[in-house]
Amino acid sequence: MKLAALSGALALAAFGSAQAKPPPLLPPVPYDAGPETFVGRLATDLPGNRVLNQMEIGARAFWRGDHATAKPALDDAIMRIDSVFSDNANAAKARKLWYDEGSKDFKGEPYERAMVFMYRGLIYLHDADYENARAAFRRGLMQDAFAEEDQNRSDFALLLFLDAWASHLNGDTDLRDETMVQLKKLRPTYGGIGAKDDALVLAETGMAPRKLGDGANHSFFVYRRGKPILENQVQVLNGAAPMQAYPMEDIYYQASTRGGREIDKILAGKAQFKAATGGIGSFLSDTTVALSENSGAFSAGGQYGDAVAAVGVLSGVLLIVSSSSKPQADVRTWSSLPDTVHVLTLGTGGKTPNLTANFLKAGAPVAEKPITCATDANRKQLCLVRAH
Amino acid sequence: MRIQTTTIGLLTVLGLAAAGPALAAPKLKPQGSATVYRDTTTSDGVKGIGTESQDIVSMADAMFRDLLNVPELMNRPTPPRIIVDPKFFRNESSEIIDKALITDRIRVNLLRAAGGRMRFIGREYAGAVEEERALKDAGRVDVGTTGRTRAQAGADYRLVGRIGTRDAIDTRTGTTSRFSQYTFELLDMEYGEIIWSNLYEFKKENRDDVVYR
Repeated sequence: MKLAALSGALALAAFGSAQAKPPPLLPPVPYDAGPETFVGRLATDLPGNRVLNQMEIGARAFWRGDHATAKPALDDAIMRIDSVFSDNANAAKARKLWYDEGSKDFKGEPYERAMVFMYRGLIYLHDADYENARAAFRRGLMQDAFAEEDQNRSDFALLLFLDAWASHLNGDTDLRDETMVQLKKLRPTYGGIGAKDDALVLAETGMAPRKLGDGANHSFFVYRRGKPILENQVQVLNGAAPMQAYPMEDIYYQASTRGGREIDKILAGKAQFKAATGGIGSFLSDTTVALSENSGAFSAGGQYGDAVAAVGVLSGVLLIVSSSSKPQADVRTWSSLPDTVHVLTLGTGGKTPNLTANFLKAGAPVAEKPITCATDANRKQLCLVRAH
Repeated sequence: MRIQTTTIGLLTVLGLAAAGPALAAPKLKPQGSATVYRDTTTSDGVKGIGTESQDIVSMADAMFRDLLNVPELMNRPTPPRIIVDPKFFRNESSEIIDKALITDRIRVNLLRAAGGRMRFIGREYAGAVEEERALKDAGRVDVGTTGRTRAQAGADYRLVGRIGTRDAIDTRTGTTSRFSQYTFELLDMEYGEIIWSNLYEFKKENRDDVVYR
């Protein structure tokens, strides 16, 4: 009787396992394509992929300058990221023994969630709403925050920089300076924001980090740097001598670490960190702008902590996302993110500058593109360019 | 004995799994629903740790009621002039918010309740006033029915303040919390004295499903 029950249970489990096959991944969309495909998918794709589709729409529309499409998409993604799935049926399914991780509603990994807030914040900057821009960047920092002795820290330097820039534009020099102190811990070689700077050049290079399913039943995945990486430096040309944009963030590094510490695996919902903080290979150290190996940390509560992590030179991190009880790891990925984000601030005196980006790989020019600048209601400039 | 324990354990797991959906919140119907009106003072259906409509209504109502008790405002023979707009109500928080939702509600309620004992200056509309005055100056429109003044009205007091938050997240438990503090102050626009202050604060906490931690 007991054996019969056991075999029945096993049969059920096996049946469940067969049911666990994730929905096939939809065909990839070219990196430089607009949001149209994903707008279509909103109606046809699984509801659990809504946030992913909105992320894609948001970024792709943003880079087309179509803020009317990007804004609601990013707002929708933020609303759903913020929603707590305490009684969500799909989350419950994903918790069960025989459902795959991909059955849950997609909210993205911390670096993906942080980037949603970054793009939304940039649109607030464009609209001259610096306070809400700053709020968005701070919310992004929280997505990347991790608990360390009851302090909340984040090492997402790009968002910290943008937080400081929003304060600078808003005239909150006290807040800007406070944030810059923390940014200096993360990026000691960054020169800072000039008192008369009124233009931000933000340049994206490379392709989004990839999540590759691996192991038996794809029970874990590995992060890989996006490819191809044709460039990793940006020079900004303004008629005079070229200005080097500062490589403020390596998105791949953010994907494969938590707060600067290399993740060994995530088991039973908890990140397991490697005993030795060897670190992840960062493109930032591969540029002409050398960065310190010491990494600081940011307390999202507004009280800043000390450095806790070190950046090293390893690359290719094995990230086990699911225990063996969950057959398949969730490899859904925001494909239109960059590999590296570079920034430069300059003073224009309120005049829209005529800028060109010169993309380089190991110091050799590989491409040149015009930079698009938009002037806001306060004559501040937001200048954007991406390599691809 | 070991087989028995295993069997019971497995069946328990299966039983719990099967019971899962039944224990979950009431199932939503797959079709959409018609728009319905909700009481603005009730908690939002969409839960988060941010400021909700009920917080805005509560804080704005608390502030305007308190302002009605400020002697410098209510006991003056000449009604004081006040600016209540979001310009100097600073958002230094991690809360993405339309500050005018709060200041508009305070101004409207205060204006209606003050019964003429306070005057309100629409400084954010100064451009519109200036445009009309320029047309009158140029003689392109007449002076209207209330006559001309030498300049637009100056203010005696202005509502200022700050929104601050302290966020905390415990990635081990998936618990997120936010302490929000809204500070409201009334600034004397000649002398710089703060003649009234009040706070509205709340702390919210939630925990996401384990699959998102």
